[in-house]
Amino acid sequence: MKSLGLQVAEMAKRFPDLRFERSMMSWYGNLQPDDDATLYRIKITYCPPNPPKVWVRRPSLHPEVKHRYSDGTLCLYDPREGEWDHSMLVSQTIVPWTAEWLLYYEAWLIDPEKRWFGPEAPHGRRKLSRR
Amino acid sequence: MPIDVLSRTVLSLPHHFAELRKNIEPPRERREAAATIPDEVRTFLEDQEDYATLSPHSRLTGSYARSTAIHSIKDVDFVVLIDPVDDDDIEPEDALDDLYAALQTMPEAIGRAGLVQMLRRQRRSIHVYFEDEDFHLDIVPAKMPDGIDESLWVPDREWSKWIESDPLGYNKALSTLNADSGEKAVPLIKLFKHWRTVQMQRRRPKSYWLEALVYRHLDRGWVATAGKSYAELFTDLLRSVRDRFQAAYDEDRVPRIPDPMLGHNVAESWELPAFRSFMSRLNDSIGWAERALAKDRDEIDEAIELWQKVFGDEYFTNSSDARRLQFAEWAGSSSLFVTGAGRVLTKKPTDQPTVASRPHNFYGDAK
Repeated sequence: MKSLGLQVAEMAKRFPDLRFERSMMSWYGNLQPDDDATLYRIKITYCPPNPPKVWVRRPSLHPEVKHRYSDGTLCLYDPREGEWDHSMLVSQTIVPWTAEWLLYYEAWLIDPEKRWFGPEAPHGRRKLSRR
Repeated sequence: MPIDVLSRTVLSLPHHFAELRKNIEPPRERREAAATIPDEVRTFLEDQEDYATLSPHSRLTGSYARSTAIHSIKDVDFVVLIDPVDDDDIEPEDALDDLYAALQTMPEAIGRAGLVQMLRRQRRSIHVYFEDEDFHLDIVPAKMPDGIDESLWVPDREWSKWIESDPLGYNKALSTLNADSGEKAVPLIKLFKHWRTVQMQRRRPKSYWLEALVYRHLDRGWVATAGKSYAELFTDLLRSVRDRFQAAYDEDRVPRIPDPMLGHNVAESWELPAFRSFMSRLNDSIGWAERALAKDRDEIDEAIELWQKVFGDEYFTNSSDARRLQFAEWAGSSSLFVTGAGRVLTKKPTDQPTVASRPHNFYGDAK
């Protein structure tokens, strides 16, 4: 398991705009998945032994978008497949996956066919695709 | 190499083509006019006691009926199925004159008195112009000797005889071909007609000739649709038409375009200079399309510019929505790199640090 200190230091190195607030055990900051995209204000909470949780704080997400849990946090990986564990750095997994989620979300918003172009694993089934 | 492997190596820009297809569709107010006015006239004719028709009385024909109309729908055609009760040998001219006479009270009867500016006898139809809607109707009287599922006979004033015609059979045949082609035949006809409009200012081939060409090349299997993007399919169509016409071009003659149903040459009036101009435009566009298909993903701007030469930049638009959808689709099948600001890239940049995103799957259908 990576120490919290290492997680915070690595995050500061890779994503300097994400600031850690120790009292909240959370990073706060902005991500913009492409130059013309919306600037998203996000919050990543990390309280081991729980896995990290990611919220999009602003702007409000479309209520019908998939790949979110009932508490509004983003479903970024398949926990059944061990795609994330505490030996991994949040900065090298959760944050890039969040940026990807936002990229696919922006496409989903404008797609007339409402497609999710990212790799996905539906509930209750084996994975359908993987890069 | 199998076709599906080949198709993955070309830059097909499906989202830009989806926008192109949307941009050439008739606008809503023209679709409404096309849906309303012909119905009013058809109902009027059916109700005329002194103008006998046979059930089903009339049928829409032409590009509107086949959903192959593009841009502003200016006209709609329909056949009215006459019942020459006392005169099976009615002369073609008389059939046209009878229809012309029957239509005289139509404007007032359908509440458009003073708005119908032209009522004209044409070679095979009566032409009606609705000035307020800038809308034309061509109404063809037709004999139906063997029922609605067989060929009709339409009058030709110039030749003074009845001509076999099967517009309703063609409606059905195209519908079947469209289903068999994965619903691509009709969109391909629209793209071909639009291409003609953009590329040729003068001596344009008629829309029906282009429809007949697309029908023939798909029906004969000269152009295959399975697994192909519209970019590839359209390029294949242009190449196929060019290749089949090349012999005529080399021999300084005009090729035939067979009617899909009856086989006669629908392009009898095509003149050699117009045909040669058409071939020249085909060759130009094939060159642009092939270059566009061969571009790499990071040459998308060049590819878009080439397609804009083919279809016009007013219609093949370089919209931010299409680019965003295209990039998201590419991202879904690529290795990704994320910058410190959260930008997602499909190529590792050399000028800034990034994190290589690990493989993962977004989980769950529900929020």
